[in-house]
Amino acid sequence: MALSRDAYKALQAVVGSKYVSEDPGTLAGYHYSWGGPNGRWQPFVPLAVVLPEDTSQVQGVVRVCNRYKLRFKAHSTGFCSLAFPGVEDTIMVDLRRMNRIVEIDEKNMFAVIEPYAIAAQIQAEAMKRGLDCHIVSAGPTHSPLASATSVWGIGSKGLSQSWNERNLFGVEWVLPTGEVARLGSPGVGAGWFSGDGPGPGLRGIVRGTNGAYGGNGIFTRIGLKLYPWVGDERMECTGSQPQIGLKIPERMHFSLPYWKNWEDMTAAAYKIVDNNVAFSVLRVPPDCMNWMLTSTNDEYQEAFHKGSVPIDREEHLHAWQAIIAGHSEREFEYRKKVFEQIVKDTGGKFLQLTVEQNEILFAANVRISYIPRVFRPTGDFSTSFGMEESINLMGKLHRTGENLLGKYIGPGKLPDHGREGFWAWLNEGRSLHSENAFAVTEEPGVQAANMAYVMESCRVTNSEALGVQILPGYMGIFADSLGPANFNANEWMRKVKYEVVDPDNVADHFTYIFPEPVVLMPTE
Amino acid sequence: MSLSERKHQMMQCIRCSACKWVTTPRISGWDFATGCPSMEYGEFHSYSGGGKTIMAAALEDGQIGYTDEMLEAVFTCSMCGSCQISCNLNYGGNVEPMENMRELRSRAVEDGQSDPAHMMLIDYLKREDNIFGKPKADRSKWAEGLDIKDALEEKTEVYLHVGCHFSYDEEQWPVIRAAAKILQAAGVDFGFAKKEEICCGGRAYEMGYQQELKNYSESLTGRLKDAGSKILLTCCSDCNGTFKQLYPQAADCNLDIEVLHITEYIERLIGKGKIKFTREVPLQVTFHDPCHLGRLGEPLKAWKGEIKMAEDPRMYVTDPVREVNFGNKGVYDSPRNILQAIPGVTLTEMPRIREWTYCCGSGGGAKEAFPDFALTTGRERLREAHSTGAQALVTACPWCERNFKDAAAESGDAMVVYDIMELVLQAMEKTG
Ligand SMILES: Cc1cc2nc3c(=O)[nH]c(=O)nc-3n(C[C@H](O)[C@H](O)[C@H](O)COP(=O)(O)OP(=O)(O)OC[C@H]3O[C@@H](n4cnc5c(N)ncnc54)[C@H](O)[C@@H]3O)c2cc1C
Ligand code: SF4
Ligand code: SF4
Repeated sequence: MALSRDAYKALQAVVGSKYVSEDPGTLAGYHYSWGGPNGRWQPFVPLAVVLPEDTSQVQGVVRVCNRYKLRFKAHSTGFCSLAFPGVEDTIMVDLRRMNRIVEIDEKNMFAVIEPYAIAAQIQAEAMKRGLDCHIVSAGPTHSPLASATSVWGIGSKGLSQSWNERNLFGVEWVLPTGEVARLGSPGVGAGWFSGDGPGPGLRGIVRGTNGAYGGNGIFTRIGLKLYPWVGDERMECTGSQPQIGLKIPERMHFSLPYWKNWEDMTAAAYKIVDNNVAFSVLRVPPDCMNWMLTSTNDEYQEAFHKGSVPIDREEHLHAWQAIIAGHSEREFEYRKKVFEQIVKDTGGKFLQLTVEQNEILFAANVRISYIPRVFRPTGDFSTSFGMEESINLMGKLHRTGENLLGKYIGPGKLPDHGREGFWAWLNEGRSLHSENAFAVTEEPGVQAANMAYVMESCRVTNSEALGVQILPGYMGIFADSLGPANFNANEWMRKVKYEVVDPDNVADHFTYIFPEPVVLMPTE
Repeated sequence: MSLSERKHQMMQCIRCSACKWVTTPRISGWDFATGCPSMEYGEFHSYSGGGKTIMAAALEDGQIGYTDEMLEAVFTCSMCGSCQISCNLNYGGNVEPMENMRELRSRAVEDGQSDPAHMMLIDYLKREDNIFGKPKADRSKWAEGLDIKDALEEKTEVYLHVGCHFSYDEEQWPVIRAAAKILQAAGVDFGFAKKEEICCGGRAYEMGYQQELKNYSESLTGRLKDAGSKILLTCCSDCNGTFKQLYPQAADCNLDIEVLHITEYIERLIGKGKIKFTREVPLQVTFHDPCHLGRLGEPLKAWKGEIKMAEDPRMYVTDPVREVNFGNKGVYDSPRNILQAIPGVTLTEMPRIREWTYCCGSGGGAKEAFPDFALTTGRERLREAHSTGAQALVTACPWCERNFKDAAAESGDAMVVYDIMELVLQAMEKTG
């Protein structure tokens, strides 16, 4: 269907003619994405893209969609591979003109942000005030508003900075009907400091564990919790492009301890959280660290074949990257000492890297820049098998992932980057986030192996009771397959969307929940 | 590499939007974090380096054709290369958005879809060897009264390439005359090609007219051979980028001579004691890094080879290994060292400098085709200069200076704009 002239004019009347486009060239960028099972071009071309300037324009656009029986899809930066239309007749609502950090409340440690304020900007402004923001692995260029309202929200600084699900305070929400709701404290005009009340608290409805990926309407402003930052107000860059590090501040320390096996590494993890000594603790596959420590694929290949990559696939398999921070000199020294004692007591050793390498990895952990670089080897990656679970499951999760992935690695199938893709970090002092993320290519054989692996890993997660599945647990086509093993979340999602929030299904449902169940695979 | 040959690189774009920002580790606040003037102006994704890459891929795929809106996004862009540097941060040259855009423009030209304003510039270029359409005969008017050798007639150590902008923009003659006086005062044996000087071809290449670059590079190679000079010196950053990066990379041309921008040469002359500053210039300044002096002036070798999938471990590699435009090897320190050597000058840096500089807005034929875009971009940079508390914005490129002055005049901005040569000459002149 083409956009009717009346609908087009109505959109122009809302946002101004400069900010509506139905030009095929312009639209090309709104149906192109990494991570799609069909390659980069996604099947549904939006009818138009609009760039609203404020909440009332967003509301106006949504009302036009209701009036002309169109669908809409919210788009903050579009980096997430799920920001393209999943259905026909969609208007893309690109929120890039809503880019402000409206306020940073230093005393109460939160920021009020719009959709297109990116993580790097919020972090830099927060640091000037002795604060930091949680950043998910999408890294510096994504939208923390989109993360907190609509997509997971977990990141490797989770040990001290929680999840964005919890970092979400007050919310301004344009419902698919065109009404505007303010949730939490802004709901009663009390500022943006709380998501639950005073005022109506509906965080579970608007996002739940995973978020609705735009399927529940458009969020236009939120309060986002910030955390204390002991580093410098302006972090000093070291090295040179593209190997840019950060000078490690006085009361911070970065190290890479490693153990002989998962059991010892797990024991250390428990002690780290029990003693509350770390700012962040992250495990990524050795290859990923080596990608971070080289400027190009060519340089990496050369180092790999010379045997000069600093992180060894075997010897440093069971390794954490840890940042220790102290609010005072005494606290810092105490934490560092305890941390070193934990590593010693659990049979760990510290890997000695050069100052430059430490600074690069420190930067990757503070600014969260690992994942963008994971695209370098092949231009695409996939993920599966993720969950928030007991720290105790670490070894089993790695082994299960390795065994499963092993079946799909080989010529014409998935690339072998150390036969694993195990990412893990400690969350909130009590749980482990894990994920199997691995590089893929566009080649059909690789894509088929990827899909088969993701499906099998979902099945195994359920059958082996490997934890509450969150990736890609509740998304769109997976929801009805994985929901039954996850407290029937799919049924609740269907009720929220079609009975309460969006009875006419105006907000694109493709990445949230279909009107009718879609069973892709048996869960047993 | 033609657009078709770049299909793989184009499809490597992951639409992460890093190209809309300065390299992310350099982001130091909410303000002055953006890197792409085109995106700031046009707002739709298609205006970014990634967006144009995606459009190029769609065009190549036959999914889209040319439309006015599409072409406006393609040409409202100063070809400043910020997108390329930001993209290369994590993807190590896998995508190279600006290379994709260069080929997209070239395809548009081949398909008769060039920007109308650019067509006119190319007509001028063909007629008068400069894109301003000014008579060839007037090319050396700027040098009247200065006793400068004809480098084509007499052998000189230094062959000065003045460039079209300095040759024809009368308001900028004091700058190029200052440069000549500085060289004379330092006892440099130099000359220029007088009325016979021709365009470097860089601007034409950036507008999509690739053959012009080749033609001009061949012409210059011949002249330099005849002239027998040791140094090719230019005061124009655009020409600097053309000689150091475009000629080897895109025109397969090795000039076989040391190429220096005037700031590099003056730094050298200061080091040798041939230039001495005798006068204070009490001024708080900030320095604008021209794109073509910095990231786009980074010397790059020509590369012919293939991108292939290495088997162990599997990943895309280049064979032979290709240099990546990270921007580190641009000229950044020379102008700063000169400014710091001038008594009385204090330099305060802007947030966006060196390889993550923000473009002035005038490159790539954008000023001629979309003057409003150029002025808007120039104003943004003036705003950044003001944020440092500087009294003056100093640069080292006639294109940048022109655009800043126009932007300041149009908006009533009182910021004073200098070329660095003006300050050098002031500091060399005897008091009283
Ligand atoms: C490489 C990569 C790694 C990632 N790793 C993690 C990870 O470890 N942990 C994690 O939690 N997340 C991860 N993500 C997902 C990430 O959370 C999202 O990409 C990001 O938070 C969303 O920001 P965005 O600007 O990319 O959103 P977009 O791409 O613009 O949108 C993402 C989704 O949210 C919807 N949306 C966007 N804005 C709004 C809005 N204002 N209102 C309603 N819906 C909206 C969109 O429709 C889309 O479905 C990763 C993403 C990428 C690209
Ligand atoms: S061109 Fe590079 S930086 Fe821009 S969106 Fe594509 S991959 Fe990202
Ligand atoms: S060359 Fe400059 S203006 Fe053009 S798209 Fe790239 S960053 Fe933007």
